[in-house]
Amino acid sequence: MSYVIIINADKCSGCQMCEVACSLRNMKECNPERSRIRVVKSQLDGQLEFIPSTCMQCETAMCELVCPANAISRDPETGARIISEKKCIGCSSCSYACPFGACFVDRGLGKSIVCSQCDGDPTCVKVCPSGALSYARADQVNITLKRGAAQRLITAREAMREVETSELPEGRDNC
Amino acid sequence: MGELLYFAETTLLWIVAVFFLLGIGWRIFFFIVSIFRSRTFSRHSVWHRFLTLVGALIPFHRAVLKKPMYTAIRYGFHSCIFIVPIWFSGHISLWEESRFEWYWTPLPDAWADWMTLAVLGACVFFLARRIIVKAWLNAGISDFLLILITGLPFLTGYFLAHGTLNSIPFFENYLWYFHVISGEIMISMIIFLFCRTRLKMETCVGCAACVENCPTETLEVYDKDAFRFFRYSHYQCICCGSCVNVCPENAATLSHAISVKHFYRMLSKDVIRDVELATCERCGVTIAPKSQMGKLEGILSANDVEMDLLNYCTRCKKMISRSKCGFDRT
Repeated sequence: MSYVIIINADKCSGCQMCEVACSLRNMKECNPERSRIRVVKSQLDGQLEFIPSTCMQCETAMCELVCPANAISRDPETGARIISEKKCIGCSSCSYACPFGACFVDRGLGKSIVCSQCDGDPTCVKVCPSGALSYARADQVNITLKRGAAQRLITAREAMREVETSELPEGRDNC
Repeated sequence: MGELLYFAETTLLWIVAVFFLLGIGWRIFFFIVSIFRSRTFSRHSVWHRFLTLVGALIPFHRAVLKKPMYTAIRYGFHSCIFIVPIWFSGHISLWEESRFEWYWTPLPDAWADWMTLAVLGACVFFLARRIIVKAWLNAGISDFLLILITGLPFLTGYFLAHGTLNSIPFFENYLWYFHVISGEIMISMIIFLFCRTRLKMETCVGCAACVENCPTETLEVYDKDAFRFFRYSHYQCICCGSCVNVCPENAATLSHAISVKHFYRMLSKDVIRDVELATCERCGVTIAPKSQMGKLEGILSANDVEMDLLNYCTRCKKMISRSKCGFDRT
């Protein structure tokens, strides 16, 4: 059964703990440049937004299609996309084809690397302090997302109710 | 005339030997210097470099599968070139007569004969190949000269050992000197012999896989103003064939080149290829060679995959994919 890392970007605080932990576990070095999960900071309409991004385990993987050395395959146990270090030639075709920009050629190794989900126990999920990352079975993803949405709806309703019940300050429109 | 030929046999031989040893020392010295000067020195360990070189000497790697017949001829030719002059019985008897009095077990004469014929046959094959596919290999005059200089000592040696041309008086007297002088030319040519990587303009897409896999950083790549340049430094190349192995387009070829110019330009680098880079549609950063993008687009459209994010940089892809598919939104 395949697993995926679910990213809830609304919760991300941009602390980049996942990058540090990932590079420390997989590359034995604290270097966010060599991490397999990256947090992108974007500024839209003056509002800061952090977008963690890693391999999304596509069903039709573009990286697998374009690889000239047939180095990309699926791990039979976790279902994660793996790049064979022996077969990879470092042509970075996969990084150009990936719609998320998840795999990249590491300049130290000269080989392409991608999220391997740490053999079924992702470090980034463990260290994430704000709960933006979670690890779930691929067929449970929809349920997890729905549950999150419902939870958000409930909290929003409660907040609305609180606003309705609380006394409003004078001189303001009730909207 | 006689004095001149005697000079070729005695003094010139010593000059050639000293020249050869000094030249090889010079080559090794600048090989080490240029390797330590390269920027990405720490990428490959010395052990990995050594293994690559050994692996290149053993003919069982991917380049063999690409051209099995040609590789077999190449390996046979090169091993014969080394074995025949060293283990030929006539040469060993000369060493024995000399002041060194060295002796080692010679090769059987019949073997040496067949190996010489194999070298000559391979020379003819290479010459024919150069002439027939000249445009493809972009061969110059020095490539033909290289084959002729290599073949001549073997041709004269074969005739000398068999006495085939003894009926002609000119050759009976002077063939020996032809053999000696052509051998001396060949030995002194070795130090001007460089390996040269060529990237075929039509098929190379500029993916830089050869650069990533070069164990000695002979090939280098740098991006400048929407162009990607490939640089090559001839003193570092150990002719291991890694670039030929990995090239997904079969565009990289290795060939010999005799060049006096390369010998004294020790630490310079030649630009051997430049490709245009595509830019990100959103932020204008250069991302990848245009030809490689075209190739990827072809593969993806052949597999009916939507590829509207192909022409964006990694950072923009991440931002667009979040706002577009909203995989984390309600």
